[in-house]
Amino acid sequence: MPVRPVTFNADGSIQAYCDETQHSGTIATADIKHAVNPVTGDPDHNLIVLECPDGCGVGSVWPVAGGADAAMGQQMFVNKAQNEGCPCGQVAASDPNSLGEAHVKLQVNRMDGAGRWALG
Amino acid sequence: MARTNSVNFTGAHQYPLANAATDLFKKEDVQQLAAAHDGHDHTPGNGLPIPAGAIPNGLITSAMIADGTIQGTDIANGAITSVQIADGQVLAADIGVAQVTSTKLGPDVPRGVNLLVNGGFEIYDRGANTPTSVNGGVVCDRWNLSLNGTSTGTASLDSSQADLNSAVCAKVVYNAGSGGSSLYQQLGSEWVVARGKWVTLSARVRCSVVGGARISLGDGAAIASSSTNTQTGGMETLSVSFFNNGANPGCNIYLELLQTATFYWDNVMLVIGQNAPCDYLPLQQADEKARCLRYFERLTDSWLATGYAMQANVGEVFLPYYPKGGAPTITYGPAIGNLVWRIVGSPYALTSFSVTSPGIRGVLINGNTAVTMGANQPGITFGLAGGGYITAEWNP
Repeated sequence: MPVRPVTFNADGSIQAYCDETQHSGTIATADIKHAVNPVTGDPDHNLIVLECPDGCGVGSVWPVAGGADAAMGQQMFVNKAQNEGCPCGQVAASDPNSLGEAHVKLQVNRMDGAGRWALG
Repeated sequence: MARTNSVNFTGAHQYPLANAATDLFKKEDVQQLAAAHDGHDHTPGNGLPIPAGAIPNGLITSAMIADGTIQGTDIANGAITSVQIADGQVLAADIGVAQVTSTKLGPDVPRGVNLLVNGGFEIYDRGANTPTSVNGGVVCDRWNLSLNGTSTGTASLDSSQADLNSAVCAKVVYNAGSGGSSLYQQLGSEWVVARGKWVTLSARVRCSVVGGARISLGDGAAIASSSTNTQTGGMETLSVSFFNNGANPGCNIYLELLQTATFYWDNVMLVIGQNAPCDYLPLQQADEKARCLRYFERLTDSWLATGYAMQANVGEVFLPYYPKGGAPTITYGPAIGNLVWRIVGSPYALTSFSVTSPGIRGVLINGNTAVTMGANQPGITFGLAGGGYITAEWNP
């Protein structure tokens, strides 16, 4: 498994674990980042990068459809959209939580197809 | 009274009967009676038929029955058992079409390919085999450890107790606490292949405590469990069948850890059909490995893909991988610096790493390097150095 979320904390941070290195720790909200285009610097709302909380250098790029863990991966995107809005501009942090979740669900369906949505 | 004639002896053997003392007695009466008695054989006209009660039990043998004269209606329903049939005499033509069901098959009859991937725990595709002691930790490809509540345990691969036809098994040293725990394989949306069918799960286990091990499978709404293990001295087979009504999309396979004990699990099999148990049917290693690659692969080759330098110090390549079930999570390690671009000259370590549009068959990789490669420079190569790796993982 990649650097993966284990628990979502109330402040938006993540308890993370890396099976490769058996490292664990907390990833601060500010360090839960969308992947960025190396040329334009624009964030990609379909991807989140989690770096090993141990600082060892291992990193995982999570797709919005959930990749290695559908439920936890999708929840990570929902939390980020609800807390911060989406960089695409379709969801603002002030919007109702349901809008953030609906936006992520649409992204999931577009990436892996209907039936991949793992949240309630 | 008038003289009468016998009614059960008729024809040539009929004889007169004197019913009253005044009846005339003739010596011919005795002669006719003697003649009738001489021909008495209970056939019609030669006396009454023999009633069943006149024959003692066990007196009639098969020699008294003409060959080929016993009809099906002469035999009571359900009276003939297998001991009446000589071995090897039931022919295929004696069995109705579509009358043999899977429950008639013994455990050694293959029921088809295993619906589980890596049921024998043989494939470990993640570098060094490292024991895991965390909830959700990876035991080997497709198998994870579930620890809940205050329960603790360590799962690893073990070769000392592996079952026959197996190189390794999954070992769990477990301390039972407040939460149930297991090894599990998540079938998720891929469970659809068993919709509307009976399925049977079987597994081999050796557990240090009687009653400590059990297997279960469920679709989230209902769950079915096997009996628990009955011995501690060796491997035994647990089995359970479950009807998947198709109402729920997901399914998990649980190798349950019920008590504090040491467990050795091996050769887990899930097949369509209501069979208990069903022997493990191993795949050739190449096939099992290919199935595992649908979910996880670890790339460690020195050179993986070619692309171009889209800017002076930004490279872009398309990295193909084995087709996944969906967009995978891409992991790099042990650090970004282990990923390199190669162009004219030595490899250049990346200083940033990103991906674009991860797909089922590959992903576009972008990365910066501190070295100027030249804008729109074709022909750069992406590779790994110093133990670098990239993994792609998708799970249902």
